[in-house]
Amino acid sequence: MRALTWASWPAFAVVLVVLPLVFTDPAARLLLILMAMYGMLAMSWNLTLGFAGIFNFAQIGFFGIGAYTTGILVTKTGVEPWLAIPISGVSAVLASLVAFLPVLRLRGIYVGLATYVFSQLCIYLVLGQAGLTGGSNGIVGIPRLTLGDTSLRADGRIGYYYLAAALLFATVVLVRLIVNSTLGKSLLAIRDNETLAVSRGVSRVRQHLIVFMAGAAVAGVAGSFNAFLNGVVSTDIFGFGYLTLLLSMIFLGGSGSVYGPLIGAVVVTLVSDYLRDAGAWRDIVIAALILVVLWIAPKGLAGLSRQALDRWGRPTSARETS
Amino acid sequence: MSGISVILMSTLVLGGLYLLMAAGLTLIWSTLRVFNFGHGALLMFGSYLTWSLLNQAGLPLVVSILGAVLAMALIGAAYEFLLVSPFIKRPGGDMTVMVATLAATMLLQSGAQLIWGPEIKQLPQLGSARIEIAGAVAQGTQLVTIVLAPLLVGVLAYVLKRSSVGLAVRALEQNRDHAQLLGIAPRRVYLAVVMIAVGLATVAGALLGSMQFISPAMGADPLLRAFVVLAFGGAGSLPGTIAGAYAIGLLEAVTTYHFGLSWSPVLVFLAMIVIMLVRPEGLLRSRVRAA
Repeated sequence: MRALTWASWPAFAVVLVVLPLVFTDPAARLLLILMAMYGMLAMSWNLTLGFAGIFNFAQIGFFGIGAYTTGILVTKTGVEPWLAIPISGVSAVLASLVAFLPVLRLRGIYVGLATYVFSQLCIYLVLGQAGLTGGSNGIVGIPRLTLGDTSLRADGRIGYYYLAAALLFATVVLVRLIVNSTLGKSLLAIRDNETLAVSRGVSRVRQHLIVFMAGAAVAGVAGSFNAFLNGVVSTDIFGFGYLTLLLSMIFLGGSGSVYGPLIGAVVVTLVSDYLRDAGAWRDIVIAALILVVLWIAPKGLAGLSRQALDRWGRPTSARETS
Repeated sequence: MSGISVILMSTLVLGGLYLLMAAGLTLIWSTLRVFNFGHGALLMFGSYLTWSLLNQAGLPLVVSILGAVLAMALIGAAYEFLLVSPFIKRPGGDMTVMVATLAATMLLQSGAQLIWGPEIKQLPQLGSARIEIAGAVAQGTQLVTIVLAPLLVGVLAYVLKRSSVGLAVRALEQNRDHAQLLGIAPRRVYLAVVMIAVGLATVAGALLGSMQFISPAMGADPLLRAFVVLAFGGAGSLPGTIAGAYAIGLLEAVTTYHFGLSWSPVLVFLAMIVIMLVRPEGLLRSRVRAA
């Protein structure tokens, strides 16, 4: 089992490298890029939402803050674009310290209220600081990333793809490391039985803060990537659209597993692209999809596939237990 | 002194609107222990339905509002049946319900866009009454809001205190298992609670639709304010919600008057964070627990 897990890392890397060589069409490449970016965001969000069980709705705020940090840095200060990516991660982490304040003293759904309000507050702050953020016009003209003289946009955005793939790979490694570490185990312990976990010496605030900051760093980097990819940043990034899109990825894929949100990101991106001309029907289909999954498969697609694998691997025992 | 009277007048209007929203959310929270993220979208749908009954069915305004409230109560019943009750008993069900109600928001918003199209709509003023106190004017819908919101929620509070339904609601609020032992069927109470809450949101939608414009996204702002009210006044207690709604209304009126529209939400939110940090147990009562 252990050997299998170790073998899966290079296999995953090879798949990531080969994918754009199979799908050479620019539109297909853009989809791959979006899948990788959403995969990053959904997986990092699931650290707090799924594993720690924190009702964290601020993740979309961290994503937007990362994008705006990059937008402001490269258009107003002339910072080296590549440097803007880690700086955006840092600024999202700083923002996460503010968003974490309510988590200190509140529990459960109240955290959901406070962090949701935090994300919405970002919109008002951006609109209020129009001189810096461009207000409702957003920031336009963010330069493309270049490597030497080649733009990452060249050759059907292949550069952006590999950047996104590398970031996704790093995110998957980070999430696996956190989930398998004592930190991850203590998070599950706090989520499932806080009183017992705390009595055994686990500090809820410290563990939650670490995972909150880790998630925010990934979201900030993803936001920065999004800013470079699109060349513009607007307040839409904090909006309801991204929030529901990402939540649908997490819960469609399965919030209880490491890879569920990634599966969800792939499926929802495909569905969303397939229905891009359908207008309002697109949202209706995605919303209906979420509800159907919640009704019939509460553990999401990841749960379904695990069930299928179990049944296929151990036909008799599966039947006995069910 | 017209500044003060203007602020007070707008406090009463804003507070009334938030009260109608937050009272329903509080009621749902205290009995079902879930938050309804779809409350803003239900408000919006109620507003559109009122518009349709008025302009497409040609009914009088008051009848349209009543009709919309009834229709929305039925939609609320379906909402409870499809989105809340299937999930509420599962472990971690409160998060599932939250996601389900967000999905419902998506459905309702895109549904409204398909049904009513993109052009902006508005309801007429409710009545032409007009009063002027110390330089501040309240007329039409504003006046109706000032009177109607506390009246409806007051009646609700009274009913919850006196009737057997109210007794069941409070029993479930205090101890769900024990209430069931005493023969209270939670499903029926849940259904009633969601229908009442959606009805109140529809009234808020009709009022808002005549003060501003009707659009698919119109529910987002009132929902956000209702959240702040709940955090402020303590979710789960109706008197706390009433006080919270007018406190937020006052805070918003004062900050808008002195700092302008774009800074007011920021200041309101900061006040909320400070209060949450300083006195979570005081303002939220004993209901802060790992949900």
